[in-house]
Amino acid sequence: MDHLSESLRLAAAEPPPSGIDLDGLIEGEDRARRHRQWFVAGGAAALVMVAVVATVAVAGGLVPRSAGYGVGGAGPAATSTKPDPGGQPEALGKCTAVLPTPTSTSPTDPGKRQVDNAPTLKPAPTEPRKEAILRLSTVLNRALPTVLPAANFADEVHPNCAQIQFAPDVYPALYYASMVVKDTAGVGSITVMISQAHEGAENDFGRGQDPGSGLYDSHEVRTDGTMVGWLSGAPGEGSQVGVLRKDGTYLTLLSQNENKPGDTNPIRPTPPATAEQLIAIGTDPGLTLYP
Amino acid sequence: MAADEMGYRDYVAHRMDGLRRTAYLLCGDWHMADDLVSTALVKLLRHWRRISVMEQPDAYVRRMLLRAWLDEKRRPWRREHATAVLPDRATAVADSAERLTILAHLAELPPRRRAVLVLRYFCDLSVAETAEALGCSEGTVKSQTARALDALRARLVSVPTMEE
Repeated sequence: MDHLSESLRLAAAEPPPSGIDLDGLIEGEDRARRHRQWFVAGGAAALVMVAVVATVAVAGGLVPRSAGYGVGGAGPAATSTKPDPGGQPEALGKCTAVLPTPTSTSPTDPGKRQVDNAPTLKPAPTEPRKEAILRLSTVLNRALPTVLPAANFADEVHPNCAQIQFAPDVYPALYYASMVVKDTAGVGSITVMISQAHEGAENDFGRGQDPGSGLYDSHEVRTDGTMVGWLSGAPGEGSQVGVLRKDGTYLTLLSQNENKPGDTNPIRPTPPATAEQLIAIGTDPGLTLYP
Repeated sequence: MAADEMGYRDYVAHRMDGLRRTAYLLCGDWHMADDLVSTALVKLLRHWRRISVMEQPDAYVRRMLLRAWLDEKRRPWRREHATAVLPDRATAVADSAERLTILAHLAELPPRRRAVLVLRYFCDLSVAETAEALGCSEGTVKSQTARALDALRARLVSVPTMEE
């Protein structure tokens, strides 16, 4: 034990001067806090305005009382709903107007770290992003209730969407969807990320020189060549699954039962989806970048 | 300067060095170690009022550091990849052979196993404390430790047995 401890101490000896700017961190956090306060105040003011305008409009007969948006006229605050397997793609399309557009980072951005520019196995998909989002979201909304029939889902990225919708991400990750999951055990979250496979991605699944050095505790190769890896911790821990398709699509799925700062939900005893359930979602043939 | 901020600065000044070394052993890169510590420090600042009155704020900060690193590892597009040109390293010349060896072997371990070794043998945490830091059971810590030591034992000579 002493030898290993000494080796570790020796390895971390003589650190270079710290690059951490504590003043900058504190200043940045102050600024962020002020922005959050302004955002909350602005949001509250906007809500009041909307409520006033809606009240006036309904009272004046400008809008039918049954009007709503989202699937089934769920109303503007439909934040928790069960995805409708037969839902119309048009319903998803309504939310695309509020999707954030990718801005900061491009593959040639010189400010990015070198690791982000790693070559990928396949060229970038040619499918337009809006069409891909619509297609992938439809597949995901079909898969979720099949795998987790007792759960309700609410889109964290697009709170006004009645169904879960993928959002564009920065290169080389392409799309991600994040949702709050509620079932009888409590509240948790599931995140699905889709990216182009990076060079050497198969090493994550123990296919490199050292089979024990993979990212995942367990992994297998399906008959169709799809590689599946998963981290299955002790009961109460989250689950993580990776799926590397033969066509070069890399999916990462996370299921977590932890609360976010400020949440008052009781910690649920198990994550909302097991590794097996995440694998069932991630291996849906429709969740591919290359249809 | 508010008392809160003074307390925060004082705490960080005393813990910065240890946090950087722990982060370095986790990720194997001083620049990334600074990034991870920065992430943990921002979270610490955000919740400082609550954390500062805790009995063991160190455990909380260590957990944030681990979370930051594991989150980083979970993102496939932020993982390290082999490159043709090696980046400059501030301490490359001073690195001893043993230092490079242990870092290379650590880097080959899966993230959680590496974390278990660093917490137990560098931070000197007990099994229970390690389990709390990683948010898992003590049984998981024991099994991860055994598997990590097995992997290291295959490469190194003087690695302890679990009974030690």
